[in-house]
Amino acid sequence: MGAIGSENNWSYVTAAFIISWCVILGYTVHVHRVLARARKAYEDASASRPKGA
Amino acid sequence: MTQSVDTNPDLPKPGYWPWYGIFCFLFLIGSQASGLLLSVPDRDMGHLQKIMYVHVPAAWIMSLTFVVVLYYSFRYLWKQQENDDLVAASAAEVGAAFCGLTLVLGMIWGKPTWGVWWTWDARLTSTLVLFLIMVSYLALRAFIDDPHRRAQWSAAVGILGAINVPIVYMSVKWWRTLHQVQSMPSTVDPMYVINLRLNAFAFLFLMIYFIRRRYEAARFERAAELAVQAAALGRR
Repeated sequence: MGAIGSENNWSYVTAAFIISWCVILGYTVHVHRVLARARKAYEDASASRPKGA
Repeated sequence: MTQSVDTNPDLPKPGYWPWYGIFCFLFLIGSQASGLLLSVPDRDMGHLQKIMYVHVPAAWIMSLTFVVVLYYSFRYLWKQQENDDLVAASAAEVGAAFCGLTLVLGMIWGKPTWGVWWTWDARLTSTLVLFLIMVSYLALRAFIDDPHRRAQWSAAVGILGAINVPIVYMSVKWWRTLHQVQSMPSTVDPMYVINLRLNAFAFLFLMIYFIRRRYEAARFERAAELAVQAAALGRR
């Protein structure tokens, strides 16, 4: 096995950055979906409420 | 009377937050590019050192989210205001995501440096315990329907999880561990400090964005629950 800092270790660095971006983008998509669903649920629930209730 | 999303003053408005989100991502791209492309290889670890720019900020932000959970959990128990519970829950979800990321990145860094993906080292184990506590926190919220009970139990678990943060932080000093000492600007080479700070700020900005948007969603979810209850009562 070569030195810890051998060129082969770029694969670990690349994996770390790709996973970080996947988590960050994945969580961004999740939050926006949850937000859109919650807004829709609120609008639907408000619309189904009888006037004056 | 229930109002539409745009006219109900009690519900949070997006305001400038979408623009702030774009800023966060541009800042993150810039700081990550700087860390990847401009940072020179370390004498011992070579390019592996660059993992520090994602692993360490993720760990710091994870800790910070649990401070938010701790503060708002205590605040809920003290003032009994539902919004405090919703902020704590939003921060816990973001914290669990960053905690999971920290663990995975640590494993990726550990394999080439220690020769193993995982070891039952004090730092790794205490971080895993923290992750499991936060997953339990989120699971608990999904199982309790009564909002007050849900908030009380969540606050208790949130405080328990946050108490674990100083243990995670100090574990490398209290026990003999494979993990190196805390990576702080004072413990890393000065030539890496700027990139570490840039990436830490990028993650911090992102954390604020995530918690704010998740809180916004939580407020709408709760408002929808209340509107459904009101509609059911109105039909009786």
